[in-house]
Amino acid sequence: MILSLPVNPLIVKNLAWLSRSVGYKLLALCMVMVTMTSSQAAAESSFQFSGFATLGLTSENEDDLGFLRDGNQSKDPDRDVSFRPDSIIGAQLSSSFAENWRATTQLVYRDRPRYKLDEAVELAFLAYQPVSGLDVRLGRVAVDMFQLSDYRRVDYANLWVRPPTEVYGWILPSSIDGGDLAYSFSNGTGFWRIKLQYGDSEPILEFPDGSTLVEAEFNDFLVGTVTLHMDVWRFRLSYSQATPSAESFNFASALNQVAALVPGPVGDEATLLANRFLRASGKEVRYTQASLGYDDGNWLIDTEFANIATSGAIIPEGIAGYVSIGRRFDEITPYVMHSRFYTEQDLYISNVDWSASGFQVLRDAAIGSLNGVQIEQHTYTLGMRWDITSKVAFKTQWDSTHIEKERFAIWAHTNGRASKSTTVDLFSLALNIVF
Amino acid sequence: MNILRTLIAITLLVANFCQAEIYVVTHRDNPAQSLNANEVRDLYLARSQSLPSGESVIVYEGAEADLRSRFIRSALGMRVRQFDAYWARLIFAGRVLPLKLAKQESELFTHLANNVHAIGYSDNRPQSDVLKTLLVINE
Repeated sequence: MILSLPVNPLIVKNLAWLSRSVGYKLLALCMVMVTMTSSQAAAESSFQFSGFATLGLTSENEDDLGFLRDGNQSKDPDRDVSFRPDSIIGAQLSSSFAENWRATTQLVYRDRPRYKLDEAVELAFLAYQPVSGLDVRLGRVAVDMFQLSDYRRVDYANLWVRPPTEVYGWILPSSIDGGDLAYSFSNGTGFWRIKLQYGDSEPILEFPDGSTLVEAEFNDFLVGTVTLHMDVWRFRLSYSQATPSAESFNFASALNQVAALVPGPVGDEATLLANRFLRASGKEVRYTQASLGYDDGNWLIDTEFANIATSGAIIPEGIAGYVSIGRRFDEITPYVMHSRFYTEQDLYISNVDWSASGFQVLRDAAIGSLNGVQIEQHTYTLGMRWDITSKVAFKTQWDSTHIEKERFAIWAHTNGRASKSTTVDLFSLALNIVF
Repeated sequence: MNILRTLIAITLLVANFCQAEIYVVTHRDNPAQSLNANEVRDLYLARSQSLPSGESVIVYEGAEADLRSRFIRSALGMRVRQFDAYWARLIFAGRVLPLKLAKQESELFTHLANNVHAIGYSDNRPQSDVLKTLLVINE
């Protein structure tokens, strides 16, 4: 029977709500289905176990600055040599439990600010293919914002030790609870894939010095992508939007109290800052992305650009991109890359003396959270991938990153460390495995 | 004389290698009578999970390294490492299930003989009446 599914945003939204409200049950259902079919699988081989892992070592040379691969890792400014940023292990269970139906669950253990089972579940969805080329997934799916978003933690699948942090290091949501609809087809031009996603995400992160945990929300995440594979070329365009919020970052209420208590310049600035936080509430962030890839078996060229814009949300805003060139020599692939994040935000600079008010800590925290999301840096990368076997790759990489002052958002750092610009050399070794 | 024999042997070996063929094989009752190179490529790159007629398909690949490498190069125009990375992306993005693996030719032919939806490849033309060839790939 062919199921007709009209692409109606209301239906998609209701499905997302259903997914949220029965999230754990849905997850449990996926698990149970996978488990139940495993015995049947022995006979029919409908059950698949797969996994990926990286043992990675990073070393950088800066005091009071810690490298982060993802913004939602634990933050330790004193971290210089560490296995934590890149090391990861993931296990995936998939089952084709009925014709045209699949269930997939993926659990990932990696460096995080805290460890909860729900947050370790990267994927947990039911997939249905009503007709050839049309895929419907409901549950927890990878948020498909950028070129590598679907598999950004599967380092074996990528050329480099890690995706460039200027483009991927600040993205907090890795998956959404909701669903997606994808339609794929081949024509005379190439292989096309059009995809729509909708859902919510609740990533967690820490303050730059690792002192405080923040529970963020990205609600009403809507992603639309078009990809085209044409011989050795790959093109991709996408647009995403979401409404972020993080209560811990919202100082509006406290600042308004200060404004009521302390008249004069301090009170005026407190009001100004409070309004800035209030203005952020309910504001959307919009991501527009374009990428181009080329892989003829010998040369690998990848480039991607993204524009991040908002009318008030407190998030990194600007233009990010990278260009990478690699050359395969049998099992060895050397590569170079340049990546950059250029901010379009102004720093908030206070000229008011709060020292006598007794609320200077509050002002510093409020300004710190406004300015602390800003990124401006660029990196030159030189590296080499060695494919040891069809399942194992070894990589080594050197990154030289220049960070502009007060724009250290994708680094762990101590208070005050961001007051001057710096250049960081990062050396990395990584062993990638898939199984 | 010995040199001449060696040269002849090498020439025959090279000629044999140049004429090597890979057969895309399925069950005789599979509705497809043949596939073209693009259709085989779409199936092995998971761009399609069904035959042109709409029938679902179960795709097998071989574990034997040399045959696998030759098939990936000849039928898909890719290097093995390129193909492996491509499939790692598909699998861990949750887009498709991994390809089925047949450890040896006899195992592959058993699967194909037992499942009308299964297809696979071999460098030997199937002798069994239960199987048929959908495409011959000349290397």
